[in-house]
Amino acid sequence: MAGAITARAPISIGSKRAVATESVLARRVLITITVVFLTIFVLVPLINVFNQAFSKGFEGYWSVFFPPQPPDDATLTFSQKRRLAEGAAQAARTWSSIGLTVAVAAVVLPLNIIFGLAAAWATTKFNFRGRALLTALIDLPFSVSPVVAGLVFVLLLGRNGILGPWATQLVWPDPFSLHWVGFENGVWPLAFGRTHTGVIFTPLAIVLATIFVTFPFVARSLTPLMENQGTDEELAALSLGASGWRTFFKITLPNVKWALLYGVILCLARAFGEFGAVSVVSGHIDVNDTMPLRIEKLWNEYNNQAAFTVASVLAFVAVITLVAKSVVEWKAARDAERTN
Amino acid sequence: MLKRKFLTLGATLGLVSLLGAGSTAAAADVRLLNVSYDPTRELYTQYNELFAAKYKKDTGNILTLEQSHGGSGKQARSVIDGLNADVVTLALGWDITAIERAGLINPGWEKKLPNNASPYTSTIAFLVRKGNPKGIKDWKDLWKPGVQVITANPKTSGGARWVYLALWGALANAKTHDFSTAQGQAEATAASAAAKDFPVYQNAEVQAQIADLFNNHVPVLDAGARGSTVSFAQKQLGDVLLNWENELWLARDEFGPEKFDIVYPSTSILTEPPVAVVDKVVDQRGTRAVAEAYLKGLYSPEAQDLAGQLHYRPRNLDALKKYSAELPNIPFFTIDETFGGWVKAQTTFFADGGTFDQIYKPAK
Amino acid sequence: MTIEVKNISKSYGASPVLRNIDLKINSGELVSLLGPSGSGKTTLLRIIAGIEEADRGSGAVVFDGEDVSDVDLGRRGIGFVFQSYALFKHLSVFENIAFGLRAKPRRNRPTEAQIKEKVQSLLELIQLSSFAQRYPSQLSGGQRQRVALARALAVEPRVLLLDEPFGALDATVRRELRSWLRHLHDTIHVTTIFVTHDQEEALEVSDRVAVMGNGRIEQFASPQEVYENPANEFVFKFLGNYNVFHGRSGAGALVRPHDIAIFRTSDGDRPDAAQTAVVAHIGFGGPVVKIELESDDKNRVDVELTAQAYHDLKLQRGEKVWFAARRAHSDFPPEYAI
Repeated sequence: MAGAITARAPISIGSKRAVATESVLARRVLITITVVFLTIFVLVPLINVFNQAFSKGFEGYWSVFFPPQPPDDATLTFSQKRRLAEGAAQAARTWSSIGLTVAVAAVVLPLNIIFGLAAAWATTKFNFRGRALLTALIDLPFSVSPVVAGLVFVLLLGRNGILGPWATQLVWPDPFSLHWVGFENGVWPLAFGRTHTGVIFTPLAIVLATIFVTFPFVARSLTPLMENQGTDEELAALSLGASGWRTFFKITLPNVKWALLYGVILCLARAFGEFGAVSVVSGHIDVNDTMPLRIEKLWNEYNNQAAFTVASVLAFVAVITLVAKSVVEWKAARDAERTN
Repeated sequence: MLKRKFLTLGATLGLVSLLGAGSTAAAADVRLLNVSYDPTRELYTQYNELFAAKYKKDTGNILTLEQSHGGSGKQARSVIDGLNADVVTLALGWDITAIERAGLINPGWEKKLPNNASPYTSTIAFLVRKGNPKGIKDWKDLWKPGVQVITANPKTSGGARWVYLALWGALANAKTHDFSTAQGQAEATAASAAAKDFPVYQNAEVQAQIADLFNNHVPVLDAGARGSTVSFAQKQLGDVLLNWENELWLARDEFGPEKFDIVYPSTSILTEPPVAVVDKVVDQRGTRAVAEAYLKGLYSPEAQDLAGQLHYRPRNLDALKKYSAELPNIPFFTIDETFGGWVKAQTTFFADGGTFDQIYKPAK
Repeated sequence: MTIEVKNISKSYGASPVLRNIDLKINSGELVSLLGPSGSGKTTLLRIIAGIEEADRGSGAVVFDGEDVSDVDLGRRGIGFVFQSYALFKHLSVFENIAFGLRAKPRRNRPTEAQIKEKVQSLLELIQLSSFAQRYPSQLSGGQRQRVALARALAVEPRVLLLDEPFGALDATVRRELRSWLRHLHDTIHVTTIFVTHDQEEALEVSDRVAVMGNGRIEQFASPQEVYENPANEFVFKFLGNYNVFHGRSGAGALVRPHDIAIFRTSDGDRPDAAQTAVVAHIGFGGPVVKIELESDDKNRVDVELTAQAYHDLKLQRGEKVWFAARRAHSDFPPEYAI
């Protein structure tokens, strides 16, 4: 008979913490299990990392990055000179690995943000054939072993790979070798100091492998939110005459900013820490070492303290990530509460 | 409006890359990549310094030397897959043969440099715990009841293949030579060239003994030579480590002479890690001259001395003598004379379905 | 502005949502699209707006004689109000309303002062002047709805399209906003189409009602016309409660509850067709009292009496009474029987 009124309840995003009604005993047992587990598998190893890193005191820690410089007038024996030179070379390699890690993250991140936004947008706001397949494909790197991912790139871009004949001949300038050369050679005062040939076993391959293992993070953290928000706000903006770009930057982006930042943090953490895929495509060349690869090499050289020192930097990054993640989660929850 | 801005941006970028590429060709900064195996890192770090300084002095140009170290077989595989190595300095001839078969190195590489293209040698010896509590002095002692032997997996590790050949040759009483004299070296070379048939392969008794050793005395097979050192020295597994001589010295230096003793058996194999220029890469990159000079330089007195200092056996007899206290002379047999070279040894012993696969039945 | 919908069809995959729709709306008219869920009313509104496209080659949407079928949503000169309001959560009320003005191309973008003036006047129109700096989350449902309307009006649209504008509001606010919308329309006279499933709302507010069912427009006429002379059984049934009486011929007669008269047993002037029944339930609904009768053949009969008539009858629960239909609809074409 009369059409029913559909009452629309507001969708709750921030869930209220459930009040536990279990018995005191169950609660205590569960808390104990959690604490013991975390202590054994997280806290103890983490403390050990820092303990080993400082096993030669603060000076030892410091010298991994800044090797001791003898005064100019010091008289040194041959073996002392050797040791100093070796220390300096090791520190230079460590710095190079830090530089490469940051550079790779700097290249990967913007690409992942663009891809993640595009993928999340495509899979949540459009309905098309194969959408489920696409969503599954975005998750693929989560289920594929990173080593396999690295090998796939080798098989694809290696000398005998499908794209091998093209990829191994590819010459590309190293963007970090761009330097000032003055106007003597022409109107353009900048030049690249070095070029790379090939893709695999170059920093480009490290970027590719890192993209592969990190690209789901941004897309995955955006998808649930975008799905929830629907397209009404964007359509409203478009109906008011806003362009696509304006709609995206003024409406979509502010709406997903916390989720995006969350994805960015996860993506960064993974980009910094990835070992398997990067190891396969690095060719073990020192200049291709990222921090995790550098740690392995130091360890294999019996340089345990230095290995743990570099590891402690990664651990520190992880802790910062954790804090940043919590802040973002808190902010997002607050925003969600404000929205309802 | 926006479209025009993008066009301008694109044009600028294109210009940058064009000019960039143009001025790169003018730069005199030469780079060389040496792809090597695990234990040689320190050797090449120091040799690179030596060679770059010499290059700067001779030509005035800067030479940047890049190193890559890993398991020998894995490294060869990377070069085949596209790692642009100008030179390879690997653990064994087979790995360079693999690169040759992929068409990257021209046949005959082992004749291009003296001494089978291996500028330094090494051998396989024992590392035991301080005071040698199990009394391990020679190969036969490895079979003593209760002795646990640590070595790497010959299927994956170059060093372990040398260990396997050393065991086989020593048990079969392979013909040895004195490599501390020019005469002994010449005899060995002649004997290698003359060797026609290789009866060691048919020695069923040796095969049974080696099967017994791997199945009953080897608790774990690490993938790489370095891994087996870590198992023995850091994880405290086993009573004796079979490994490269230089690797044993490094472990002793790192962990302290108060912890370990190095024991030399009565005879062992002369391990010859070869070096080669990767023809296809150097021709493509135009680095042939410097790559060849780099390898040739390994035979120079300075480089030979460096090798001795870092516990590799120099080919140069003066350098060898200088370090004879740490590198004691023992009689060596060679792979060429005893086993007919790497191709034969590889296909018989280590290829899939080879002898090693037949004898090694790890306990469940 | 006149709006013409010419032979529009739309289907999602194999299932048709709109079948050959034709509709002509006069300039300044307030028209409602009324129908149950799944009748295609929202889809039709979104096609008029340009949010969705009609099936390829199916027809055209014409504004003032100009075919706008291929014109982008943002260039049709429409103001669209979403059922969810779709307010920009991160922008203040002021910025929400100003959004369309700021999005205009530079050459016809108003100055900051003009924007401020325009937004202020709209805030006055929706009686939210003191709420300019609030955020949508700090507003009640009705206030949000008004902001959404003001935001749509800010760009001075040629046509205002509202999708279930009062759907998510409680009854009192709905009624308030309904008359407010009517008055607003009387002031600004912009052609307005709104979608609703609420008959009362449609009948009260609209100049004309398009009753939709199953992807078709069943009737398009004034509220009085559709209510009193429904074109078919579907329209009749959708517009209000009804009773079905089966005559001896088997064909059913449909009777509105307020078209049934109740007589006391003692009344002498009851019609001959009157039947006896028992008062099963009495529901007080303010001006209207809903009586539930149980007829002798155990059927339920709903009756609506004015409070006055109820008072005069002094009905008691369980009491035996007579009832008869004052007006019945029984002449609909058979294919519409549902």
